[in-house]
Amino acid sequence: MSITTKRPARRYYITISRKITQILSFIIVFGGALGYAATVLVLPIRVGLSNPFVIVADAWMLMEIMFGMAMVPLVAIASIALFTLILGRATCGWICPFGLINDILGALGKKKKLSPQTTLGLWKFALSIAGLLLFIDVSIYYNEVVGSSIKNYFGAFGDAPTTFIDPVTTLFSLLFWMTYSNKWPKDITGWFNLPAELYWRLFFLAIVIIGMLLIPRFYCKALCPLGAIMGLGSEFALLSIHISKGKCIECKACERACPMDIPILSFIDKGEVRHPQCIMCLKCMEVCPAKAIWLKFG
Amino acid sequence: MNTRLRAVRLILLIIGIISLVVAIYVDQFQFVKELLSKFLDHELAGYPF
Repeated sequence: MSITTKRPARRYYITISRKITQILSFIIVFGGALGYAATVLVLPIRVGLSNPFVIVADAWMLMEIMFGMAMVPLVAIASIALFTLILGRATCGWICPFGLINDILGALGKKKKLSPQTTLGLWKFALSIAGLLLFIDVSIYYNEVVGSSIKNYFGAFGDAPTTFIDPVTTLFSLLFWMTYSNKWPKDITGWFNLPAELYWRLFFLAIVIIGMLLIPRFYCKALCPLGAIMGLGSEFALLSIHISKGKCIECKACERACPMDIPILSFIDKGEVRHPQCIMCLKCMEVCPAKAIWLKFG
Repeated sequence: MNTRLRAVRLILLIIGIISLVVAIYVDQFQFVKELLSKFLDHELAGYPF
């Protein structure tokens, strides 16, 4: 007579809830397609502003465009500061439309894990890109205010310098308009007449898509300027992940499940997982067999 | 760490609240709505539509 031990069924309530939230958020953000009018909502998500169906503003692009119009982007600053204070980078994990694209491509591709040093290094890289872009934005703003515009020096990217390396607006805005306006060349010679900027942006989008297929959440980890800026404050957010040293059996299931490759067990002595790359997806909490990880507000 | 945590939270709260209040005062939310309601060529890298 054989004895079989029945393993408890793993529950994926958090993953299912997160997927439903991401899909609903995607539908709401592109609510114009369902006939809804533009709202006054400004969220720290990456979606761009040029798509006619977008009814919720992308804080980063809004900030850039307003700087370019010689306006201080107070709504964007308020949105980034308050969401980071309350939720950390949870908007990246639960609401961001490009985060959903990252997750879908990550699920289709490989699940390459990165070392803790690489994870942190990629955040610093993204932060340096964000810093450089902000410097350019503020310079453009200052020169617009004093009446000596420098936008032309940046060519086609003068209105929104991020678009130079932004796969989000290439996907949601530029490619949308190309298709919507039926601007794709009909013959081979038409392809040679397309502007060089378009080719650069398509090339960069392709690079990011390959990256997202090879490394989960590649864009969020290494390139997103908004996520990098939010990472500065997310370590101090009211919403945080806690880990109990007493309960933890150090099986590393949480670290294996983490799409952002955060070394969760290195935070066990502190009792709180506070990392600039944490997007609060709660996969660590879900997979923990010892229930040693939980969410706390305050 | 606790002092640093509280200090950063306070800074974020002050920045957020002041920005929000001034944004409401100068009616920037209406500007956002108008921006989202019209065609923007800013993100299209100069591609003409």
